[in-house]
Amino acid sequence: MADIDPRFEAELKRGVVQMVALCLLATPRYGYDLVRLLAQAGLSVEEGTLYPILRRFEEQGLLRARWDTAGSRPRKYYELSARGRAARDAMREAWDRTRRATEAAIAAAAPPAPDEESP
Amino acid sequence: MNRPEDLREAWLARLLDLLPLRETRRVRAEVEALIADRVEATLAEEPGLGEAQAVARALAALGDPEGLAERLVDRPLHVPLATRRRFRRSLAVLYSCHLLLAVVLTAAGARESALPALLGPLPTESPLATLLAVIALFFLDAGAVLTFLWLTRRGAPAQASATPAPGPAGPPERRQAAQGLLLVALLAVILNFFVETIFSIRWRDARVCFLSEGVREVLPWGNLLLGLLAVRAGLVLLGARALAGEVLDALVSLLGAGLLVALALSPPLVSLPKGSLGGQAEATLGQLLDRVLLFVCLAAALYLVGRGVRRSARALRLLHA
Repeated sequence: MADIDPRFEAELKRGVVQMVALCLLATPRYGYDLVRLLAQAGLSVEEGTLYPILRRFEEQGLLRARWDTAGSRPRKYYELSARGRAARDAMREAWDRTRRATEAAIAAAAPPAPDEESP
Repeated sequence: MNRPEDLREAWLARLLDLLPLRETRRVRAEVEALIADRVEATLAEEPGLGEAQAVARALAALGDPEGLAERLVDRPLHVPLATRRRFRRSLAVLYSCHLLLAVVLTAAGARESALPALLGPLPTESPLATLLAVIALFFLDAGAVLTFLWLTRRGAPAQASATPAPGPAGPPERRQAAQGLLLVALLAVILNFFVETIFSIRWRDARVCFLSEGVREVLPWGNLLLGLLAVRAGLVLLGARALAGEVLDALVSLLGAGLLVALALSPPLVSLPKGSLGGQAEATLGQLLDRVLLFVCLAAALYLVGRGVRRSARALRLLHA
């Protein structure tokens, strides 16, 4: 496979990770748990990228957060708020639109099949 | 320095140094929890690894503190090139106009300042006094441009929020709206109570406004724009949808541009009291002030037209979203 500019993949992933993170936070999870789940899904993202996203979502009221101090050390759990659920649904719709448009554009750009070429 | 806690503390100190003080406690707790989770997972996967190495890996996953701090405060910690360029250009225009007017006032033999504490003749007692006044003007203008850039900054543009979310405004937008409301109130007070004092010169033991009648007739229309801006800020504060804010913003920008063009088309903008400076000096200063105000009006109108068009485009995008 030809080499691609790593920035391309990073930019492609930036928006998707936000949507997938919101989807995963339908149940309460802590930061590293989310990193692990994203990696398992093939969307490796490091804490330095995910943490500011979680924080921004929390400030925007998309996530509710609480500290769990019952374990061996405190952990911060994040969970979708009602507003976050609406944002997640809006993101998924946007994702579906983009995906359909992208596939249609790629299909339109594909070379015609051999039997279509001959008169 | 190879002790895990030293590594972690040094990294955290670099990060927390770059954040606003009110954020530090919370960020420390959250980042420490992230590091601890990553270290625990790494040691579970590779038991032979030392704790210091596991901490180093956890810190590597967080990236460099400067980059993380930039992403956390959602704005660049370094002044962006565009802002530096805007600062240089604004300062060059303001300072050269300011200095030119000060030189004209000095040459015309004016003894009193035209705008108290802002514009007056340069001292001529000694070359050193003149030089110090010229330097002081520079710092005054630099301060004015910095204040202007700070007041007009637009939450410096998180890349992710270049297009606002279609839903109701979130806390950062509300904070900006509250700041905007205060600014509108301040501008309303200046427009209605202090404009004639600011744009005045002392003449025969009284201060006389040097803005022309035409300009003074147009100025109260500024209240309409300020009112619309206040409504926009109020809507954001009440959690209205971003679309309403964008539409109002576009309307205010385009109306503001129209008002400034109306001002520019009603010369003269400046009318100095007859005999205030005497003959040629009075005519020269009047013309200079007229040109400066005309330039400011047209430049501001151009900026507002651009802003109005951008806001209209964003409103259309939101409408279609």
